[in-house]
Amino acid sequence: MTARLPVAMVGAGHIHSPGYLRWLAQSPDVDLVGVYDQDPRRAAELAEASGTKVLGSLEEATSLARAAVIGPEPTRQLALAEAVAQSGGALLIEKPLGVNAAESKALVALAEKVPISVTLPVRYHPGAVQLARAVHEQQLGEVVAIWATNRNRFPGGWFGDPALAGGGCLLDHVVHVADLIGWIWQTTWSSVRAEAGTLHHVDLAVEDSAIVLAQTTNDMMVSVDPSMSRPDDMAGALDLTMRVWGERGVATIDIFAARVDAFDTSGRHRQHLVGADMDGAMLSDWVRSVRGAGPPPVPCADAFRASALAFAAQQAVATHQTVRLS
Amino acid sequence: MAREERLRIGVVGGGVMARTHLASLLSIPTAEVVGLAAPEVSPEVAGLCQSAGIPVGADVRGLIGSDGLDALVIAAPTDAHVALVQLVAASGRHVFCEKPLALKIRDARSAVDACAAAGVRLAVGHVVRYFPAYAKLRDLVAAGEIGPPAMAKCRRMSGPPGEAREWYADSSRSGGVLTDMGVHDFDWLLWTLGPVTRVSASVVDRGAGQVAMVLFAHESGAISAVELSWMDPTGFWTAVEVSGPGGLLSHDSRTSATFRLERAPNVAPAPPSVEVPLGAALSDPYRDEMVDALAFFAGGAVPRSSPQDAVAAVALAEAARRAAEMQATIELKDVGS
Repeated sequence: MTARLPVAMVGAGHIHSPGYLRWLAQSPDVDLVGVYDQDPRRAAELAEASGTKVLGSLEEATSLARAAVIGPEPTRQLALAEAVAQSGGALLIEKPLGVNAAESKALVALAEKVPISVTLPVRYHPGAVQLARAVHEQQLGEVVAIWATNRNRFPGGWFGDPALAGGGCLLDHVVHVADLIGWIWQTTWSSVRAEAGTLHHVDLAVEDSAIVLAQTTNDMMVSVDPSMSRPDDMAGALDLTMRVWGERGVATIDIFAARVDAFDTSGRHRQHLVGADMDGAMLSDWVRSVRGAGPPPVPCADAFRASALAFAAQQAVATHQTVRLS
Repeated sequence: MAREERLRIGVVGGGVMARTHLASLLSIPTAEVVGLAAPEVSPEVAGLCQSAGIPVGADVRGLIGSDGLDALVIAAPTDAHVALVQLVAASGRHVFCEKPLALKIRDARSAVDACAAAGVRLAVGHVVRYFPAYAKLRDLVAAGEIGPPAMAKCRRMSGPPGEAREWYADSSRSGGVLTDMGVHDFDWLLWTLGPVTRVSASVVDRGAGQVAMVLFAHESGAISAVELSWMDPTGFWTAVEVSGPGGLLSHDSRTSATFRLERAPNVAPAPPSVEVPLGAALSDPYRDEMVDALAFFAGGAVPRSSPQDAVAAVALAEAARRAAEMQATIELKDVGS
């Protein structure tokens, strides 16, 4: 039996941080040493909720842990990752990979020095795995088009603050679909067009509505809707769907479909999601790779490819022009 | 995992459920499959055994009696279950039996009694308790989400399994759609709404194609209905809802599918097969139920469905068949006495 992997959470501002902490706290393969965040109150709340302790400094975190989960607000990510990487441990960092192309490149360079995996969990979902299998078995024939959504309500908090979020819905929600496409077809983007605006929450300082129309290097057309366009109290506001058109058939994935629907007597609808724990599967795979000194399961190069679609789309929106890549 | 901690398992059966359980067992580190026996073994099962190095034979009694076995998995046609469970119990091994445990309550009881008398443990494959949405729905009801449950409706449909395996189409062997499909929902309804007092049912039995409807009155005052079909042209799907004074909970496998594949009409369809649904779970329900059963055999807790639960589900199935035959409402206490 190998010893438990000492893991620290460094930067815990992300929407996924509480869930990741809960998983790390209960994993028999992990020794969760604590949480560091530049906001001590936030760190204390999270530490209490998952039964771990607050770490007073970055140095304390890196001296206790052999691996770190880095999940601050996006604009703080690169500096934090670089600081933690000084100690040489393995990192799991939040998507997107940096808030612009230069940061994305810097993180890929950092991954030359320490093993870095990126939190792109959807490829661990059985629906995504079944799609990958259908494509690899040629069940669809040649795929010509993908119509995708990864919509949500406006999550609130720093998501509306460009200084912390680094961008709007294009930066936040294009990468999951983009990563699935890159992972399944081993393809990247040849041209990108996009339209965007602040149309649903008109006081926000970032775009909350966008559609991307891209062409891949293997000649698929891809539309992605990453908008924060769902009403606040809508059940099932978060979606991730792809309709994949091939010459011999159509495959559909709907990642958050498996559910029990609940309606109260006033008609309020809630959804209880059931089934796949893709976050747990991703974390488990990462822990396994670090303990076995294996390659990062979701390498920075993959996240770079996915994030490139978001950056190109932002550029297309800013210039009203097609962005041609590679 | 040390070798001596592994349970040595024999599998009886060569069809679709044998394949399902074999796949689960091969993925469970605490299990070692030492042999499989059945009068008839499908190419899929034979292939799986060959690639895993598992010996395959036709001598079921020989496998059950062979040395060095800790437990057997019974995945034979339903009418063979009871005799096989009794044979395994007599050999002193633990036994996992695919649902339904028996066609009649009397036989289900004698299977349970045989295991108790021999001091072996019995687990029955009521896998719906391991389907995440069905387990979640039951948990929400138990937590009082909708108040005391008032009504439940369960629907379970597939194409005709008897087109692929003819014993299904013979209701004297499979129990027909009322038993073979219904026992899943009957077990879940007992788990969620509690004991049943009265049963009404109707069935159209055209052999391979069957449709049935069932109505239960529960001790609590709740009522439930079950719709079952082996004639659904769209293939396998299930739906369930429970309502009460505090609201409504529902689930439909068709809107919960996380992956679908639709082929163009000029593409040759896949050959008919008995459909084994896989939910959206990373760990599949069939594997989860087997993990619990093996832990039970190794001295652990009783799985989600106990032997008594399996008997109770058979009682509802037998009562439903009798109510359908008589076109009457019958008291459950009059069944199996």
